[in-house]
Amino acid sequence: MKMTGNMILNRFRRRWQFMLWVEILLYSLGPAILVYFLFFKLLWSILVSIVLVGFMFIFIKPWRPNLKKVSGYIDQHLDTAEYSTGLLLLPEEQLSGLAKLQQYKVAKELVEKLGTISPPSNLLRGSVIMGLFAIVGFLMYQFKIINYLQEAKEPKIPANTIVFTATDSISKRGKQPKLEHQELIIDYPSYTQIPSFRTTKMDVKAVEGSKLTWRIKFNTHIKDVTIESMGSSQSMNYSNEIYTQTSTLNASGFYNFRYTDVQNTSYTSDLYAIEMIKDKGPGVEIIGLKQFTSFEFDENKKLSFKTSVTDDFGIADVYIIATVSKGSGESVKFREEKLSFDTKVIRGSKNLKLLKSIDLDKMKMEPGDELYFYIEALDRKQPMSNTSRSETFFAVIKDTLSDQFAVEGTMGVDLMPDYFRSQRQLIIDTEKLIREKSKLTKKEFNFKSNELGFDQKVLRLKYAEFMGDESESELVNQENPEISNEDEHGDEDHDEEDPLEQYTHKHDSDNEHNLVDHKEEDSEEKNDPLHEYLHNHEDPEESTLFTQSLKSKLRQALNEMWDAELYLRLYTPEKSLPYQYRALKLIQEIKNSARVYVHRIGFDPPPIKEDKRLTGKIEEVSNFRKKEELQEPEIYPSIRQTILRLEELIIGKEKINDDDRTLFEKAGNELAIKALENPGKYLKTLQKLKRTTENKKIPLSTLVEIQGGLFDALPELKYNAVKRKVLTGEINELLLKELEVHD
Amino acid sequence: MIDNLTFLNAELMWPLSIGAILLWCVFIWKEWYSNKKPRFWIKVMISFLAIGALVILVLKPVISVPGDATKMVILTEGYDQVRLDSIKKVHKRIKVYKYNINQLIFKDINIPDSVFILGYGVEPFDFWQFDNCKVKYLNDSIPSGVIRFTYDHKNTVGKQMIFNGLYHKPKKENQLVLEGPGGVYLDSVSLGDDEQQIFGLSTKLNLPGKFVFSLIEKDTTGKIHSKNPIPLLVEDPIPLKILIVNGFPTFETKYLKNYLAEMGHQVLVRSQITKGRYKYEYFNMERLPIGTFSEKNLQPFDLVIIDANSFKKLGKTSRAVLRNSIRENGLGLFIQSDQDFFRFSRNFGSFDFVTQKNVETNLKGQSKIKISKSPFFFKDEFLLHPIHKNTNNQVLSAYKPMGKGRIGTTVLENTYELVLNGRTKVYQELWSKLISSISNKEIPLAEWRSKGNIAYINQPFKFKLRTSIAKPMVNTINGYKISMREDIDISNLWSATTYPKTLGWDTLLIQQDTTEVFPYFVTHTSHWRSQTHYEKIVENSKYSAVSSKESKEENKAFRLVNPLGFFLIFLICIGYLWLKPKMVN
Repeated sequence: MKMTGNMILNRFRRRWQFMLWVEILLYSLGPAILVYFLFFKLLWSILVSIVLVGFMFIFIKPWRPNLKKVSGYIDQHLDTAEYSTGLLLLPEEQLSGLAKLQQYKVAKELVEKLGTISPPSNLLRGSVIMGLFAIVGFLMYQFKIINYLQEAKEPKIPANTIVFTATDSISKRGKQPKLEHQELIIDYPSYTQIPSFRTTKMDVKAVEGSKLTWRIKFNTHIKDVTIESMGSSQSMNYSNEIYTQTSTLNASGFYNFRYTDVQNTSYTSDLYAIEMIKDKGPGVEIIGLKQFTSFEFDENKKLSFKTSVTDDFGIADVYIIATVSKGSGESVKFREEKLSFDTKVIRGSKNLKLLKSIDLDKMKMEPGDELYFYIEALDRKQPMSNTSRSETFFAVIKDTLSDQFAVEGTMGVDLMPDYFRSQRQLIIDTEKLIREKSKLTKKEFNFKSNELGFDQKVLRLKYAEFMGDESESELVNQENPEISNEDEHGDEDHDEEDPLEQYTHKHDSDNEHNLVDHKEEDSEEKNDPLHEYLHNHEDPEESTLFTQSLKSKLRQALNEMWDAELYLRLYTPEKSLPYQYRALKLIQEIKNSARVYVHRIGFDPPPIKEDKRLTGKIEEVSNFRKKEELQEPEIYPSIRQTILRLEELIIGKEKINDDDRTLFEKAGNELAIKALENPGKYLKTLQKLKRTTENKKIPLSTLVEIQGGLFDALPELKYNAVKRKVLTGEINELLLKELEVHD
Repeated sequence: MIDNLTFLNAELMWPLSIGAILLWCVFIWKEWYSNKKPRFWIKVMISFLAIGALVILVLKPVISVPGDATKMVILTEGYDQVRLDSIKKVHKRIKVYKYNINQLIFKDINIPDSVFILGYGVEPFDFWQFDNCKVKYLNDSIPSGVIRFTYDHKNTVGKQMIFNGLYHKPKKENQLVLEGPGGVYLDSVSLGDDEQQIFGLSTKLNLPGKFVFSLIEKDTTGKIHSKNPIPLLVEDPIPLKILIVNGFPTFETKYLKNYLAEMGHQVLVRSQITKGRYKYEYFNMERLPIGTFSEKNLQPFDLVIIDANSFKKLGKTSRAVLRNSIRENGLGLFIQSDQDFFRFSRNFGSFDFVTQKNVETNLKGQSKIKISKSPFFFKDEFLLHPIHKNTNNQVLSAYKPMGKGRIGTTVLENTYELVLNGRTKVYQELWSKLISSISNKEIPLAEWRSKGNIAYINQPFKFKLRTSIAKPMVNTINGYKISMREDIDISNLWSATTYPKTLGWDTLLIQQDTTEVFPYFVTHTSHWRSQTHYEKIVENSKYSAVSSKESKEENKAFRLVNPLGFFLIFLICIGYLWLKPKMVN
């Protein structure tokens, strides 16, 4: 027997232990490969594998299989061992003869068969796990998943922390003070009901009027910290080792931090954007109502509608402003009312649905009246709330009786005062009276006829004013005989007074443009007092077609009215009608002749001197010269120069000098104005541009990016005519000449 | 057989023969006097043989060999192995040479009579080596990529830069992108899967300066496959000096003058107020007296805009002066037409029109925008240069050259309505084109031209110079002179070649006038590969076509006759002559 039983078992144990070790190695190798694929750092993966080996060592315990265990395992798994491997462990001296025999047999069997069994191990599992790790790692490497992960991660962390860079990279300096704490507190205006907000992100986007508070803490003592914004800088207040600064947001812009340390080295941060969001005014919408509604007199005159009001930070109040207009023309009257909704307006709500029904009768509206209304909504903005109003809606109660007075086809606008119309009205009323004669009692008929006669008289008196020969007292006399007696021997001065003076505006009267001069009326010598004041040669109707003067026409009309009144008073309206018609016709003629004056409203051209016209003399006309510089100034000159300079810097090997830095700063200022409108697009370029003005070493790629950003910011040029360049030679000229000859 | 024998050192034939005969004579003389032995004649014969062998050794006889040995294949980049194999099959003993740029191809005695060039071809500056042989260029593979392109290397601000090219064997869905300064993408085009694709990229230039734009080819994933430089020289526009003469103020003139003045041009407007009285408006310029036209007061202007009525009323002298200024000084004349002008003008400054009912039209390329016009359009005739056409190809505005200048007009009316309708851009485009084409042209002192506009480092860069300078001397920026060659027919055309040594912008200048500079961009030879290859292919094909037509002597291949035999003969003869006397003694 070459091998003792002990040796056999020892060998098996070693094999077992070895396999366990391999297993540990497999387990730890998998993650190590994965780590390597992910980060390409050998050290990391070695570390990972060592840690895992240690861990698995404790877990798997490869030292554990001792000889006893080994013999047990063999007994269980190898039939030929006949559960006697334990014998091999015992010293020969202690064994009985049979046992020795068995020991010998087993030892012999084991030498032959031990190869068929293998120690218990999970090598397969281990290698599968390792393989999986390796495959996953390889796939991640292949598809660059790690890049995505990193990209997703990267901007998050550094974007939030303020990165300070020294403005002067050459001068020697000590350790850069480290930023320990940064915080931005945004206190929204109280009315917005948004709680204040703390963030480490320095880009601000907040509502107008918000309070911004920055808090910055450094690990060491530094000289001072300032916030630079749009050319101005404010130093931050120092208290309790924290620098704070508060400002109220009222405009969009940019800012950056700058601090100076004890060695007088100054450091600046990136630019951060402040974006101000304007509080929008409330939006008002009226649902279920046409812009224009009209009602018949006998209808149920109710307007019902729904209003939806929205606001971004809450509504303060909503109400209806209604205006009722009564009458038309000069006599229109307006009445404004503020109405509230039927539904209660909840203050501070962001979305309101309100109902309202307006009863036009309750608004004391009569036929012909119009109602205009709109809805006004206020939000809770402080100190001045935003107001917005809806479109205006109309509601009309149709007038049952509407007379449309047309003076004449040629006259576009009804410029005549009201009392000229009454002759027509008289005719209509007279005709109506005649038509209704059968229905009326005689008394009623006579009464109405007399009434019309009176109206006719009043009208006549009104026209008579212009003639000056009818005293208004006459009217009064008839109505109030008592007073008339007093006035009978009254002074003549009264003649000139207008009885309607108190009730009419002066310019309402026909005499507005001194068509008829009151004073002149008194002078009896002149047959036609109007003649002087009319340029009759410009009026074809006046000059030749009508031989009668306006005054005599008016008198004629008055005579007709006299007769009309007479027959009305005699209760024979039928006979009165022809006179009335004639009077109306005459009045209309007078009106038409007055038309030319009506058109002169507003502008009285200076009279042309007759001797100047059409003489053809141009001595006083002189040449006129003017000089103007209309050329538009170049837009963004510094941006243009910067792009050119960058082109040189990118291609050549030149370095940025001080002149460049001033140029870049100017370009930055120009870009900042543009960036205000569109911060998202230009902020990055602006930040980089700012860095170039301060630091000395700028990577080429940054320069390219800046150039690209600036190039993008340039506005499109307008088309322009240019002087082209053409080089001509003798041959060209010869050819042109030759062509022309043969043309 | 003897016809095929020549000597390599044939030029030594005579001196050698004479020397040999002298030597032989000396030998005969020595033999004659020393011992008149019976073997005298034998010795004379043997010495002749020895001297003869020696002479032949020095002369190096060669024998011409017929057949394939006189043919050669030159392999250049991109050659086709299949083609090479088939050539080898036909010509069994053909020589194969791999081409190296700018190196001697035929180093040994055998200059072949015909040469096959395979691949993209040899550089044109190596053609001289094939002067004595027939060249056959065999190639049917054109490299994939942009093989031809054209663009205006020199441009002005505000104008469109148009880059047109031809792409051979495009890869579908790849994109060509025009990249501006700072990596800004300006325009792009997708490639199809045709054999060849013509493409155009354009951008409006809004900055003066020297720029290097690039043409980038990207695939769908955004990976950049190639990036080739497009050097550009953008100049500030030169403002025009314009004189507007009007009988009465019109809206058309009002809007036109405002537009021109805002764009920085110098505009003088003279409109008549009444008889003999005028209103003068000077925009962006100093006051300048202008009464009746004279050559002197028209001198500063590039363009005269005049309404047809004022033009008709011009006096005889004014008319002559105007005509002369146009003819001699290149002045432009734009006539603002009216109805009479279309119908009745029949002399200086007249055009032929065709009546037409339409009083509304559109412009080519902007078919949706309506422009009012008079019921006429131009009759297309010889010497008429159209400026604007409508979609029916009717000429709407045009000019006629007259001497150095031009006369133009338009049938378009009331174009200011475009501005009122908010189409300011169309209005500006319309008038800028019209005015640019008619007005006087600047005559530069020199005009530089080069093929492709791009120079490659350490490669010859050929350029042409047109200049009015009698004998231009061109220097590089370092002061080195470049020799210029005058064109044999055109006296003001010069051509030259330079060899740029540094990358980036380089400059050439004329010594007589150093303001006349020629900036050109030098790039690496790895750029525009397809285009340079394609150019080489074209050059080689041309050269091959010319070369195969020329009748050239058939070159023969020669084989050196082995000198060992002659040497042996010499040794034996000399040995005999040396040993014989000793053996006898």
